[in-house]
Amino acid sequence: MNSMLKPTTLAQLAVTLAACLFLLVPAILSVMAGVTENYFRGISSGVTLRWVGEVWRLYSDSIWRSMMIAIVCLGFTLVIGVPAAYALNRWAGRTARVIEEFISLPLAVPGLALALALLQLYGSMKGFRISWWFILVGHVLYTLPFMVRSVLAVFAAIDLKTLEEGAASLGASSWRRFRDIAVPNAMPGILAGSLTVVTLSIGEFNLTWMLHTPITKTLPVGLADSYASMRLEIASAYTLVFFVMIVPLLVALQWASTRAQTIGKRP
Amino acid sequence: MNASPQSTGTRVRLTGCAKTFAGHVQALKPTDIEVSPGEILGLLGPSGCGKTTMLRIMAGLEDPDRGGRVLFDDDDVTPKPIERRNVGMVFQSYALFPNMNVRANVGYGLKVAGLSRAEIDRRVDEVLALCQLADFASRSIDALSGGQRQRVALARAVAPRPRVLLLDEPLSALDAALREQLRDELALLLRQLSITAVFVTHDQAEAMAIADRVAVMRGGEILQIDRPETLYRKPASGFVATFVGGANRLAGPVSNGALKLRGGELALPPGEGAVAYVRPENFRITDPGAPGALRGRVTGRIFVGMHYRLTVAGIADEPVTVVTADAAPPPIGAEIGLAAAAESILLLGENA
Repeated sequence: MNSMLKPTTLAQLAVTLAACLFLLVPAILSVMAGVTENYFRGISSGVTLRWVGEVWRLYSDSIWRSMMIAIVCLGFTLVIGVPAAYALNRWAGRTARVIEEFISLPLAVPGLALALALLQLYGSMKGFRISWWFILVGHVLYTLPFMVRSVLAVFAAIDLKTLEEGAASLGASSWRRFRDIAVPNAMPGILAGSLTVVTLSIGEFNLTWMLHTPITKTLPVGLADSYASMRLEIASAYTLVFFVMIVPLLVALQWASTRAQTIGKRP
Repeated sequence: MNASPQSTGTRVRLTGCAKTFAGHVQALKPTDIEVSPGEILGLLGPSGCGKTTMLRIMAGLEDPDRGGRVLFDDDDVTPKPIERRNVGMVFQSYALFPNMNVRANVGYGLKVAGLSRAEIDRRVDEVLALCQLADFASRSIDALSGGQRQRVALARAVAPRPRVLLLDEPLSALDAALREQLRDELALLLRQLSITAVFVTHDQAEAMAIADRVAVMRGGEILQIDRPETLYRKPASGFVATFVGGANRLAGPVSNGALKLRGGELALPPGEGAVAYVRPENFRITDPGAPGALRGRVTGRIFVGMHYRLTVAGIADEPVTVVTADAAPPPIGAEIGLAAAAESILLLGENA
């Protein structure tokens, strides 16, 4: 208990609280504005869910689209990313490391540049350009490295190579080893990767802003649109909707990452 | 399981098997070796001697360099990967599947082989009983002690009735007391199974306790392959004598059948070797002036339970180690004499 009263501890606590306030106050104000009858008269003008309803009426299609893109994006990153991580883990050579870096490239390249490249390449394909699939391609490129890295980390932590040698000595073919040993034991990494992919896809703005069309707006693009063209209460209510969707995902992500990191450290 | 599921084991042969890894390190020099059906062979040597490489070549986890062949009886398995060789393997880290409980781990090989559910259950129950694991069948791997894990790894490897059982340092992950207990259990179990088995170890006591024959390896080659008693009594080289059982190396000029050392002259048995080796337990402690004894001074005395281990300086260039069952051996600082019967002196080649 004594250590709680040390000056350094108190200073740390104060700094932490100040940082929290700095981050939280704007968010709280924004959310409050979203449920206030009239922002300029303040909270005394009354509390309402009218603006939230208005956001739903105006932007529900963007919200649904974002969720759909996130889920389809997750499907693609799972189907591509897990076997890719499996292959990368297996081939220890230099080529594998080069490919790994290559997959991670979208992390380093600004979303804007990635979007421009996609536009240059596919911009003339009209049907594709104006469909949500176009945005999906960008999201898959952007989120894939997170899935691959997350699964690779778990493969390394569980010493998959030896586990697979064990399974092979018992007669298991390459495919059975992937299905029976690699995937089940990588589950914590796959789960953490999946939550990362969904969270990133739902929140992605940078790239999506460049790729979207008026009929393929996503949740964050809609948010920007509402700030630009609607009254402040609606934009603030939109922020509230955004929070409600993203915060549970972030909490789940935190939980899953912690879980994935403890794997292999068991006695 | 009846005591011997396959009373006739498989003969394992390597012919001309070498292994060169990238970077031109020859981990194994061209080697021929034959393991008789039902025999337990120990591969013994310091780390980097090529013993694990040889085991992995037998398993099919490494390919030998071109020209090498691996035969199980008359079946040339050289081109076959491990999953088509029907070998059982116990890994140093056990490699138990964390996503399966004990029963599922032990039954995995049978499941892969496509046996019926009932047959799998029956065979797994037999093996679990044999390995004293019946009470742990539904435990998760995380909930097992080191010794239990070792037994599960063994049970999993033998459940599909492999042609050959291969064990890579099977006991080295355990602490000393447990290791000794499991060593004896393992020796007994392997004999019950009467399966051809090859195991790798760096611990000579382990090799002697378990194996029918031991191959002592160094620098990628087999120096000697013999029964444990023969290795101890008739080592082929100084390295084998030192590595198996321990021995003091005594070198010096020889004249009139005696070796001239700092502490005096040692009468040698008739023989060819250039260097004499004397095992610590073959020295006899005498008075310093006794005829034919070497003179030295005790510089260390360690009590190890059933005997004392003395370090004696002044005999040869290096201090020698002496083991004595004497209840009150000379104290540190004492001047003593050491004698060794001529027939207990090993005369061996200078190098190796």
